[in-house]
Amino acid sequence: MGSIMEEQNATRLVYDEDDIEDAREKIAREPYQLAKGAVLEGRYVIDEILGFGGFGIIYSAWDKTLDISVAIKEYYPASIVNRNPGEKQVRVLSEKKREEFEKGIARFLGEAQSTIQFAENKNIVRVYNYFQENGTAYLVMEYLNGVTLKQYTEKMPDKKLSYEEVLRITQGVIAALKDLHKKGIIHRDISPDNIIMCKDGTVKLIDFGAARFTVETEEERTRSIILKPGFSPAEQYQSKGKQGPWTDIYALGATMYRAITGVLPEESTDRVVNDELKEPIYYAPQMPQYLNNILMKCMAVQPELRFQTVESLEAALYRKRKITSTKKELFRRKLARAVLIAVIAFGFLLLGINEYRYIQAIKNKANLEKTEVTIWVPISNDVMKQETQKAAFEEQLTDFRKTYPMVDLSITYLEEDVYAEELNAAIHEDTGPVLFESSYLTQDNQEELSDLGEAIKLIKPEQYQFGSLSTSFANGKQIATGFDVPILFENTNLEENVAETDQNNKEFFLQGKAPSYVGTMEDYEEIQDALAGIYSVSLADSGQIQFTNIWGVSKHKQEAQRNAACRVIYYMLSEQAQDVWYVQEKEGIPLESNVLQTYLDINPELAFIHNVSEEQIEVVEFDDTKLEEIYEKNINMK
Amino acid sequence: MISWASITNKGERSHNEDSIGQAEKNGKYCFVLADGLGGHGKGEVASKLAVDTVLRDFDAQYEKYTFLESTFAHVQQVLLEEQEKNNCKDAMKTTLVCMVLDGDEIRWAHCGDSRLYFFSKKKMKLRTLDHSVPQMLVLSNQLKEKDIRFHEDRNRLLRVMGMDTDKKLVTVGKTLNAAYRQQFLLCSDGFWEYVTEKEMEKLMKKSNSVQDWINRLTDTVVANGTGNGMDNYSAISIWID
Repeated sequence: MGSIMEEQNATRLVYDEDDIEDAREKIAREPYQLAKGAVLEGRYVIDEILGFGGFGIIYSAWDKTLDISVAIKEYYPASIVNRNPGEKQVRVLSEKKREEFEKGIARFLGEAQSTIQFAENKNIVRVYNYFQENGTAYLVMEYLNGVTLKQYTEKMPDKKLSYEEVLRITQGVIAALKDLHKKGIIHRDISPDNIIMCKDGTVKLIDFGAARFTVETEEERTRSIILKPGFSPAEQYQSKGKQGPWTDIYALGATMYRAITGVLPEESTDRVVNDELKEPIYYAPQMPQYLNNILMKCMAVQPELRFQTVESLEAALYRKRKITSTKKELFRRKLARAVLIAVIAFGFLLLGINEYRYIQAIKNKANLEKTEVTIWVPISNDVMKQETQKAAFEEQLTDFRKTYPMVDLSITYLEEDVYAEELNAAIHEDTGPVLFESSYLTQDNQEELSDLGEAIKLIKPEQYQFGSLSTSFANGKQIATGFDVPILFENTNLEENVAETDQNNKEFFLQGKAPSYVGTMEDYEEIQDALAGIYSVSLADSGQIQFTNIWGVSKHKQEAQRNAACRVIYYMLSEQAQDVWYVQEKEGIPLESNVLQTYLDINPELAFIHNVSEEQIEVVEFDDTKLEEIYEKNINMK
Repeated sequence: MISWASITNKGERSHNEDSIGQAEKNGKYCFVLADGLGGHGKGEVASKLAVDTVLRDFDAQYEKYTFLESTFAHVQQVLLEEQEKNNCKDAMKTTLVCMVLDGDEIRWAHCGDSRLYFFSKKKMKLRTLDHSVPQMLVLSNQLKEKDIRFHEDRNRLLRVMGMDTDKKLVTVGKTLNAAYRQQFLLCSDGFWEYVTEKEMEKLMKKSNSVQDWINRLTDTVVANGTGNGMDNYSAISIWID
């Protein structure tokens, strides 16, 4: 993925040399630190102190062999070792501490090994070498000509950065985390101290002291240790806390929060008890709402409400997609759970045939066979939109892939213009897809559709708008995941006496030449952009709806494949998938009732969708002729 | 009548990093207990510095409404200065719990997992809430109160005096009106971990004086704690009769 935001052009790519020099702190030498001029491994000549903390000292040094500057980290746990001034040898304070020291060295070298495998990633500090000398261990890293994000931010007026700049920095951290997480490594200490802003504009992640807590013996457990949550989430401080990519995502969110607002966010361990975190937009009103919501989602107290992977966070930033605020999301989930419990309780009282089938189906859940399902997905002809659509389609199948690792999903994306032609040509062939968007099939090819009973028996119609009408039609051979309604768009700026054109013309409407237009959700965003602030929307009177994203399965495929494809459709109707595809990616209107509610909460001007009555609807296809018809009807009514 | 008794012991450790102290001035009383952290001598220094600072402030600049907040802030300042001087920013930290009896008003404050218990008529009424991971889990309904003592994260503290932070370290309790038959217990984790609140109540009923109670509590603590490298333990109890 290229860049998070196009705004990045407006951001400085190279930091001002003076800013960096000013921000860099000069650190005085302590007597126990290696003297200037000391030589390690016969090649590294120690120069200045770059930093030190409880576990080590970082020196700048000159590598005589390669003739380059390097940074060298020395393992020096100040509480258990010392060194006489002028000497190089490190002494462990007591024999009792020897074991602790040895374990520490092993961890330190482990950090070296885990970092060295990321040599190719330009957003991760490079490790050149590591070795043991002077009774301790050393790590040789690239010398970074830059300052920490913390130092950099402190130098700025109000101690904060523009959100555009923060987004650019975040992009670098995300690139680093993607690689780390892929290898199963959690950084566990993402913070403004561990992000380096280099003079050449690169952003580097440092400090991979990954094993921050080790298993303690019973005696050690009676010795108190102090935690400083800072930017990390609460689960990181519980020895049995469930940690994963979401742990780094919280810390990254908190780091962005600090940089954008200039305010340290409330610590996670306090928020668990009493959450008083103010939304970042409160301090930084200039930041866009979508970014505010993304940060709040990163920083959700409950790990399961955060982005689960860096990829999904990146996709959200990239698409500037709308994220339901976590508070709302929490409420929604609680409600859904309450409803579910009520339904289950009710279900056991009146264990009717539907419930029985449902429970049987759940029981069979684990029974998918090992197979491959090819899916053909129509995507926009607009190249700009394709990447985000693909990412969203992938994301809505995350749960499926996790639950059914034995099913290999092979997805092909085809542009809308060629989809029908390709599909109708391939449907009889072995090369054709198992699962596809069936509204592109010609009338003749409708016969190729398989029965979708395996999906239908899993779906609870009452959970969806329009009930079973939407979840099984065309004799149970097609299932839709979304719907659309005819919308009357009006230009509120045009005087009433401007004559209505006798044709339903979108171009005229977009140019402000026509007072009204009847379209669908497909037109919504375009009209929002073109006529921001001067348009209104209402339900065009017609009593009709259209289903969208209508899926079908080929009857020529093996049973195992067809069953797996049915399960995929079922997953596309799940809250998670509906949320991704419709609420976040805005691909239409979702059918799942909870998600629909969220969707309407986020788009309050579409509240009229509530009024689409379930009883008197006719399912049609909104082609130009149909829309023209509705237009005429609505204009005449006025 | 006010009576008090105390105990501090190194348990099975080589040093006692706990410190306790009390003072009386113009009919006002101050009780303070600290449990030092940080290893090789620095914990001892920290807890002693904290107790001494509180008692000195109580003697020199006591002011009813602001004393606790200001003396905790002073302790924090003293510890940070000493860490700087001794180049040990990662050590020299301590918990701190302090109670002041001023006329008919009782105030207390704490930081870390040293506790103050308040009993009335030999029934436990409240205790301070630890600044620790298991306490956090209890407050967010993820753990039951009774499981704090055995939780694997019971030694993980979220706030102690001397930690480098901008956040407020002290929690000041609500002011309480002094009355007859009230009992207080200030104690370190090495003490409360080995005696339950039920046992505290039970032993109190058997005790005829504050010293008697402290003795009985200590016996229980020693009986339950011995054998696993037992931590330092300390307690101060105050009875109003």
